[in-house]
Order: sequence, then C-alpha cells, then structure tokens
Amino acid sequence: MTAPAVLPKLVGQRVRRREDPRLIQGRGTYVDDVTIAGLQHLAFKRSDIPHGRILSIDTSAAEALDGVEAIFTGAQIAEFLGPMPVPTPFPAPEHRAVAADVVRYVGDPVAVVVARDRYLARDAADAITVDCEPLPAVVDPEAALSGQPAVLHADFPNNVAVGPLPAGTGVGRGGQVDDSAVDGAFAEAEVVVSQRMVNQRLAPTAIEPRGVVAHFEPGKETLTIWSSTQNPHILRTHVAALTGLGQDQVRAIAPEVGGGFGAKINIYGEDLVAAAVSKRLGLPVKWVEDRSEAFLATIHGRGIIGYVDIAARRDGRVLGLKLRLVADIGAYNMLLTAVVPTQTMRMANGTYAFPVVRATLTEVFTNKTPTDAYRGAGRPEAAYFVERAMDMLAREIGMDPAELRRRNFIQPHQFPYKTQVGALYDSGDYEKALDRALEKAGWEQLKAERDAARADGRLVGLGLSMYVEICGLGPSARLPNGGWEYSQVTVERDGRISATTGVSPHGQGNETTFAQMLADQFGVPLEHIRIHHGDTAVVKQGIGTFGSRSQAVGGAALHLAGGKVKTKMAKFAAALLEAHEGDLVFENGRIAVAGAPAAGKTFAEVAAYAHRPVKLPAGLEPGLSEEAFFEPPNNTYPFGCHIALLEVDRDTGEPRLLRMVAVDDAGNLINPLIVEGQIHGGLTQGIGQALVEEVVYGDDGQPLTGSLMDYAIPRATDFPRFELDNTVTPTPVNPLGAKGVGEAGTIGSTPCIVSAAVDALGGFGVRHIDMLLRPEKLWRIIHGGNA
Amino acid sequence: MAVIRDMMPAFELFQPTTTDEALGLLDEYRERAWVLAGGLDSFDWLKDRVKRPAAVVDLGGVEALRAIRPAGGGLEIGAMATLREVSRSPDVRERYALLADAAEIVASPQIRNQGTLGGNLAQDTRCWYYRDGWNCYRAGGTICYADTPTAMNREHCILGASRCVAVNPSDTAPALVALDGELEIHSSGGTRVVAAEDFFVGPDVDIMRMTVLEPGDLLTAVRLPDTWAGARFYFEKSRDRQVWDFALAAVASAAKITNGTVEDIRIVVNGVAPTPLRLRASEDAVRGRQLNDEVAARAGEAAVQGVRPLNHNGFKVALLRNLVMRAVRGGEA
Ligand SMILES: Cc1cc2nc3c(=O)[nH]c(=O)nc-3n(C[C@H](O)[C@H](O)[C@H](O)COP(=O)(O)OP(=O)(O)OC[C@H]3O[C@@H](n4cnc5c(N)ncnc54)[C@H](O)[C@@H]3O)c2cc1C
Repeated sequence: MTAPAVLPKLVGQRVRRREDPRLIQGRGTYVDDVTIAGLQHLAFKRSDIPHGRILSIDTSAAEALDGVEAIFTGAQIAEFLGPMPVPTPFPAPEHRAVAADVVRYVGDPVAVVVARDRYLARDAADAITVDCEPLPAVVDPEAALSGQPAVLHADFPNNVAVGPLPAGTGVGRGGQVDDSAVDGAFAEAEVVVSQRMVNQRLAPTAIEPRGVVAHFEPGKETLTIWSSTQNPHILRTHVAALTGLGQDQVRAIAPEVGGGFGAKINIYGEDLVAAAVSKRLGLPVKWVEDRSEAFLATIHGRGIIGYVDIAARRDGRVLGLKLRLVADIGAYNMLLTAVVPTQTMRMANGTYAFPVVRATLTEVFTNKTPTDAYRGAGRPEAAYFVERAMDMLAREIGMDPAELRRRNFIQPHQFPYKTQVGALYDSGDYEKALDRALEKAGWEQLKAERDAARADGRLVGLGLSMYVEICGLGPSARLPNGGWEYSQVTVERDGRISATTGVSPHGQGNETTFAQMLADQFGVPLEHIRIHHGDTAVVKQGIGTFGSRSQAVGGAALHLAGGKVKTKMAKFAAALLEAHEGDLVFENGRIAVAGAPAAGKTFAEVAAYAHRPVKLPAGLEPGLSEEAFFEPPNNTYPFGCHIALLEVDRDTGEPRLLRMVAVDDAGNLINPLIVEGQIHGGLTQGIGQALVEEVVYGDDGQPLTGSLMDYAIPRATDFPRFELDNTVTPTPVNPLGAKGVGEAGTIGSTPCIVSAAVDALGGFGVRHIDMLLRPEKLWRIIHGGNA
Repeated sequence: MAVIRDMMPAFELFQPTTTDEALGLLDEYRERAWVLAGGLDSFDWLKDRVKRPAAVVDLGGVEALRAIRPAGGGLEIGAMATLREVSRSPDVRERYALLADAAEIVASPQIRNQGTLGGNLAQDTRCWYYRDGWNCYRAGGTICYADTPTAMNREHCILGASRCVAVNPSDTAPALVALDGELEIHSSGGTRVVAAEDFFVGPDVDIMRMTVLEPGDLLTAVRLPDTWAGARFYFEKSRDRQVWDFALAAVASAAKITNGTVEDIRIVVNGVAPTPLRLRASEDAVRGRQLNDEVAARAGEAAVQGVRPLNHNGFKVALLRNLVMRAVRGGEA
C-alpha cells in the first residue's frame, strides 16, 4: 500500500480563482444568454424630461407594428402591479415601476412594449408619443430645501426625504439634542478647520448591464425569474409579494453576474414589470438594459455634500468633529436609498478618538436617477470628509499628516470601541497599518523626493489617508430582510462535496475561497468540492452578496454547516473503524485514527457507507447533509492606510498618479490573491472617483453623462502598479476572524488622491479641491484663476 | 436630451470583398449608403438612431485596402489598416514615428485594434449637440446650439469657426498634415489624390461635412512622401481624463534641425478648430532660427493670434500656446 499523498492546507494560500477560466473563455451563462421558446422582448419608453405631468400617451403607431404583442402604459401596469417595495425605516413616497401620472427624472419609464424581438421592441418604443406638461426641474439639492423651484412629492414638503436627522454627542435616543458639549469643544479649540466638500454622483457601471428573463408557466402556476442580481432570495421575496404569488411558486436565479458594485442589490421596476407582464400574458419575456439606458435606469452612487468642521489644539489633538450632510438622493426611494447616507453618519469618527462628534443628515429629493448603494455605500463618503478635513488640519497647524493621525487614533486596548455616533468597532490596530504603509511607501524619503522635485519646479504632492469601514452586513436587526447567512454542505455518495451558499457571488471568488475552506476542513482535494449559489431552488435560503459580507457572514455559515457534517461523518467512520470518533482525523482524503493513517478508510468509503449504512449506527440518520444559519452578533470594521504620490503638469494641469500604496487590514485572509484582486478593483474605482468619474446633470435636469463616451471609467492600464501590503487584526465576531474586503480599496483611496493634489498645488494657496480633479480645474489653480 | 438608443434600426448590410464591388454599391446607393470601416464612429451614429442609412457597405472583407507598403520613396498605408497596425508597423515607426505616436494615443487598445486609419481620418465631429441629433447647422438646420449663451462649449473651437463651432477630433489627422501626407480617393467616376491639408474642410466650405469625401467616394489609401521621413517629431495630446479621451488640444510637429538651427518645421494642431490647422505663423517664427526658449515662446504666441474663445473654452488658448511651445522645444525642457 502506497503512503497517502499529502494534501497541503489551502486556507491562507494564493489559490487561483476557479471561476476565471470559464469567464475569460466566454463560457459563462449570463441573463442575456437565457433563451426560451416563444420568448418576447420588452423595451421601456422612458421620460426624456426631468419633471412633468403626463397628459396623454399615444401608442397607436407602435401597436400597428407587426410583431408587437402588447403595450402597457404606467396606468395600465398599475392595474396589475403594486408600488415598488421600500422596506427602509423611513417614510417614502409611492413609487411606481412605470410612472402613471408624473415623471420625475430623465429615464423614468412611462410605458413598456412587449414584442417579438428586441429591435422591434425598440422601434415600437420610439413610435410611442408622450405628451407631458413640463414642470420645473429640481436639480440643486441645497436650493431644493426651500421647496424651489418645485416639490417632487406632495407629502414631502421642501423636498425633504429624511431629516434633519441628528446623531452623536448630545443626541438622545428620542432625537432630542443638547449642543453644550459640542459647542464647548469648539469654543475651547485653538484651531478650527471648516470646509464644504462635494462627494459627486457616480454611476456604478458594471461590465454587464442589468437584465431579466421572467417565465410564468400558467399550467404549473410557477414563475421563474433570471435576473442579474446580487441577491436572488430577496428578489424572490419581493417578486412573489408583488405578483400575488407565494414564495413557493417563485424561483429566482442569478446566473453568471458580470459585476454589481451594489447597484444590483436593488429590486428594480424592470424586474417586477417583467414578472407581472409574463404572468399577465402567460409568455416568457426578456429585458436587457442598453449601455446608455444604464446611466439613467440603474441607481447612482454617492451624491452627497458634507460640511465638515474639526476643532483641535495646535499640538494636533482633535477636540471635536461636526459633519452636516445633504444627500441628493434623486427622485425616489429605492431599496436602501435612505439608509446609505446614514452609514456616512455612522462612520463620522473614522479611526479617531474624537471626544465629541455631531453628525446631521438631510436627504433631499431631486429630479435625478435615485441613488443607492455603490461600492462602499456611505463609508467612502465618510472617509472622504473626515480624512480630507484631517489633512486640512495637518496643513493648517503645519504637522506631518501621518503624525497628526498617529496622535489621535483609537488605541488597540480600547476595542471593542463604541464611537460617539454609535458604531461598535470590533477590533483594530490603526497605528500598525499606518506604520506599515509609511514603511512600504518610504514616507520620509518620499517627502524628500517631493521637496527635491519641487525645487526643480515640478508640482508633486503626497497624500495619506486612513479609513475604517463597516463589513459583514448584518445583523438581522439592521437589515430589512435579515442579516444572517445560510449554507448547506453535503458529502455525496462518491465522497465529493457539494455546498450551497446564500451569498450570490458575482466577482468575489467564493467558489474558490469556500472550496479552500472545505478542503481544509475535510482534508480532501479542492477539485472534489463544488460551491453552488444563485438559485433559490438549489440554495434553500439566503440573503445575498453586499456590504462585504460573503466571507464574514456567508463563510461563517459554511464553516458551521461543514462542521456539522464532519461531526456526523466522524460518527459513521468511528462505527466503520471501530474507533472513538474523537480520535479520528480527516486528512489527505482519508479518515483515520490519529497517528495511524494507513489503517483508516478513504473519505469516499465512509461517504458510501453513510449513504448505504447496512448497519446504521444508533442515533444516526442516513446521509451526510447539514445546513446552518449564521447570525453575526455585530459588524466587522476593517481598516487601512493608503498613500499616493501625484504630479500635476504645470502647463496643462494634467494630474498623473505616480505611486499608490495601500495597506489594508481585513482580519484573517482565506486567499490573499483574491483579496488583492478585490483591493485592486476597489482602488481603481476609488481613484476613478477622484480623477475621472462624475455623473453630471445640466441646470435643466438633463443628464450630460449618458454614455461611456461622456462618463469615463478607469482601465487597468491607466494607473501605476499598486503597491499592496496588509496587517492582520482578526475579528472576534465570527469563527473565521475574517472581516471582509470587497469595498475597502474604494474607501481609503479617494481622499488620499485629492490630498496629494492639494499638496502638489499647496504653493498656490489652495486648501481643498472638489472632485473630480480635472486638468482645467488644476490649471486654473496654478494660474490664479486666469484663463 | 438623453434618450436611450443603443439598438440599431434596420438596414441592408453589404460585405464586398473587392474595391470595385464596394464602389459599385456606393454608386448605387449614393447618399443612402454608409461606409463602414472599424465601426467605432459609425456604430455610435447607428445605435444612437440619429443616422439611418438604407445600406451599410462594410469594408471589413476588402483585403486589398489593408496593406502598408513602401511606395515612391515613401509609404502607402491602406485605409483599412487598423490604428494598431499603423502604430506597430516597423516602416511607420522607423521613418514616420509622428504618425505612429498619434495612432498609439487614440482611445484604448481595443479601439485601436478595431478602428482604421481611414475611419479615424474621416470620422465625424464629437459636438454633443450635433451627435445627439439636434437639428443644428451641421445637421441641416439653422442654428449652432454650441454657440448660444447657455451652451456647453468647453470642448469647441477657439479658431477658424464659421457658424458651426465643432472641432475635428482626429488624432492622426494633424500628424498626417504635418507629414505632408496625401489621400487617394476612388469613385465610380475615377480617382483623385488630395493633400492632407485639403482633405479636411471647415464649415466655411461645407458645413455638413468634415472632409472632401462625398457620397460615392471611397478613401483607399494614405500616402506619406519621404519629405519628413526621420525628422525630429513631437506629438502631444491634452485631455480631460488621463484614460481614453478625445483631445482638448493636440499638437503634431516635424522639424529638421541642424546644429541647433531649425531648417524647416511643420506645426499642426487639432481639437481647437474645425479642421486640423497648420500654424504657419508659428512655423515662420521658428524656421531658420536657433532653437531656444525664446523662439519657442514666440511660436506659442503666434499660435494664439486671432483666437476667439467661446464662453467656456478660454483655457484652450493657454493650452494651445503651451503645447506649441513644447512642440518647438521637442520635448527638451
Ligand atoms: C470610446 C472612443 C474613444 C475614442 N477616442 C478617440 C481618440 O482619442 N482620438 C481619436 O482620434 N479618435 C477617437 N475615437 C474615434 C475613433 O478612433 C474613430 O472613430 C475610429 O478610428 C474610426 O475608425 P473606424 O475604422 O472605426 O471608422 P468607422 O466608424 O467605420 O468610420 C468612421 C467614418 O468614416 C467613414 N469612413 C471610414 N472609412 C472610410 C473609407 N475608407 N472611405 C470613405 N469613408 C470612410 C465612415 O463612413 C464613417 O463616417 C474614439 C472612439 C471611441 C468609440
């Protein structure tokens, strides 16, 4: 008998993503690849004005086209589809998937065409004429607070959707406010920095736009819906409720999903309309978003103005922070629209022990596409406001920005740390991340190089930012659909392992990381394990992928389910081997008594026995399949430090990023390669916000960035090679010690790019530059505002 | 107005394999035909549903239009050579690096793999009012929306406008003009050869076209004479975003320098006027002189004589001046 091969431990290893070969070879199946006999295609007629009352809709020319199956206006849809779900704790105006009386943003649907093919559907939508009485467009969120030039929703005077909502020091549970402590801190300050900052709107821009196929089968009375979603189970819940079906009648499938970045958490009108129309007509229907349609019809992110004040002493000790937020949420509340800006409030402390903090939030309706979660969802905005203000303070008192941070960190022994705004930080060691980043970047030498370059007349700047963010979303009390996660692990008859997870990966690599975990847990090869996800008929329960939760919450559920199966399998093995189950080890594809591997059984032998237990051990049921729900007691709070070196061209104003160093702490890492991939993507989007991305609306409410020609997204080749490192501070809130990493890169990078630009142009007296850092803007600063 | 139009309306598609076959189709369909090269400008128009040709003549299968080969001491580049083929061609690189540099900075790698030199030269303007289907002068109407008091015109003309203020967006065009290139145009009526500088037309000549190409015309090749082969070249393009982007201003220059004296020079800019613009006054300020900062500054000043900025593009004046100065200095600080 040959000695059993030794299987290496995989957790913590740089295992390459198992999902990549099929995706890069074009073998993935996306929503648009789904075809069904008799499939009909939807096209939405959308408003091309930002605000108006619908007077009449003429569909006759469209109906006359051969191959048009049906056309429904908003009023007709309303007869068989209820208003959009808005399960957040704030009051929200009624929102119809297809507008029936008033349109409130360019892109608001007014009718839907059902036709034989998508080209015909498009032609028919163009042939519909909509007569609208234009109403004034509400564009500037701050001006809108006076109720001018119009009010979007009659029940929301002055366009106030939420607020003003106070949080922090001196704010009681009932919302009563006592200003004395905050005022006291500012009164006692030797220096106060204050700045209004705009965190501009962004378009999430996944490589795959949204899409849906809905198939109601009248005979079976079941509806199957394929959607490019991050959370098929939540979609199923809402689709069932709105189409009058039970959850047992609806199956939601997220096939391959080409990126989401938060934008595909939402329950969109198009998905609900597709389901309702399919049920109504008894026909399968498909809708796939056009690229330019995505800029209007898919939620935007960010879009928030912050007024930041920091009170401090000249020795760099911070005394207090005030953050007043005005969020431009667009025309309606989507799933989490109202909640996202509250996360900005929640992270107002940053990594610092501010003795007092006061945050105030007002959310405003405007005639724009609604905002909602976009990678980071509220935390990038908080990090931006706090870190930019800290940077201004450092400049103001002439202190090294790293030193200023160091003097104010929450200290490791203070965790768990309850912040002034009510977040309970799980664990942290901020100084360690700072030091690692300073070392990696060569901070002192970089400063010298910068100064030397300046002496040569070059405009070079250094930026540094810390961040702390919220991951592992749950717990259930904080999420409208619950904050747990689910997993089922099955050891099959042949010794292979099938596992299901309620998270719905679309780029996160869980097919790889989860398999790594099970491989180690059971001592079997990675190739013998398959992770199933994204289908409510296969995965019995689930919440989904968002808020950097898949590892910290989904991974924990998997770990628990795997542990249950392992315990049961050990019992079968103990019976077979006539050994004590506590003495058994699962290793190298075998289950054996510790120290005597050759005498054991193969994993497959034990699996076969469990499925045909000729002599069933007492107290056991046949089979090896167990499930687990994991409810996290708290969020995790990963953190890090990012450093950028940037140069501005004196003649043209063009900024060029020279170096980007990122040190992130996401707790224990299952797969550092995948973690780095997540950080690369996050950094790219975070830097993208600073340098190239911005959703722009004209004063008339018309979107000006309606295509990828006008809205730039950065590409892999646009930035220097990122220099990454990490520290490891495990979290106590889950059994893995993993914190989550999906959004981190986006959160820390943006402020440090802007700070680097301010540093580069500091000689021209500038204290802050609003994003994006357009060459013209920088050039005007260099040239004192003279064109 | 932002209207969603990514779905192309129907048209008849022809895929000829020879130049003659293509010319026959263009002759048959005349103004109802659309020449399709790499499609990067074309598909925008079609997907935006603004242009609705009855027939599309796809040149993708006409192999004869792709060759890059030496001709008469210079080089002949087929109109269907991709931008990548142009920028990677050793012949172009070695002798006409200016064109290679220009082609290399167009858009993104994907676009350079697909877009052709002919298409890049013949592409339409990017004025957003016009491209969005507004009925402006260029579209046959009676107004320039970009030149109204509330217009967004930071990317438009500062020189040479006439009613329409849209600029030529091509990166390869100024390089071709600087190299004294020529374009070979075929039609059922015969063949003509046009100097690059004359290929581009401004609104004062024809407000509805960017080039001399007319219905029925096929651009077959670009010729580079040996006049500027191996000269000192400088190409720079300034843009809003350091990812792919069209030029706010671009400069292409070829110079012959002996012992620090500029014997001859071409300075051509794009993105600032309706056509690529040869800056003769700047050239005169430099020609025959010893190369130094003062001469460069004089060329820069000459470049901006007579500028007429619009409401939002005054910054282009300084940009143009600075780019011309850098071009004269040739990259030396
Ligand atoms: C995202 C994006 C970014 C871009 N950025 C840049 C940039 O930075 N710089 C730049 O210069 N350009 C840029 N472009 C434009 C692009 O480079 C050009 O559109 C492209 O090179 C055109 O080549 P094509 O082969 O795709 O032409 P097509 O789109 O097929 O044709 C363009 C036009 O030329 C006509 N045409 C083409 N070939 C012939 C021929 N042989 N005879 C007669 N008529 C012909 C067509 O009828 C059409 O009107 C960008 C385009 C996109 C989509």
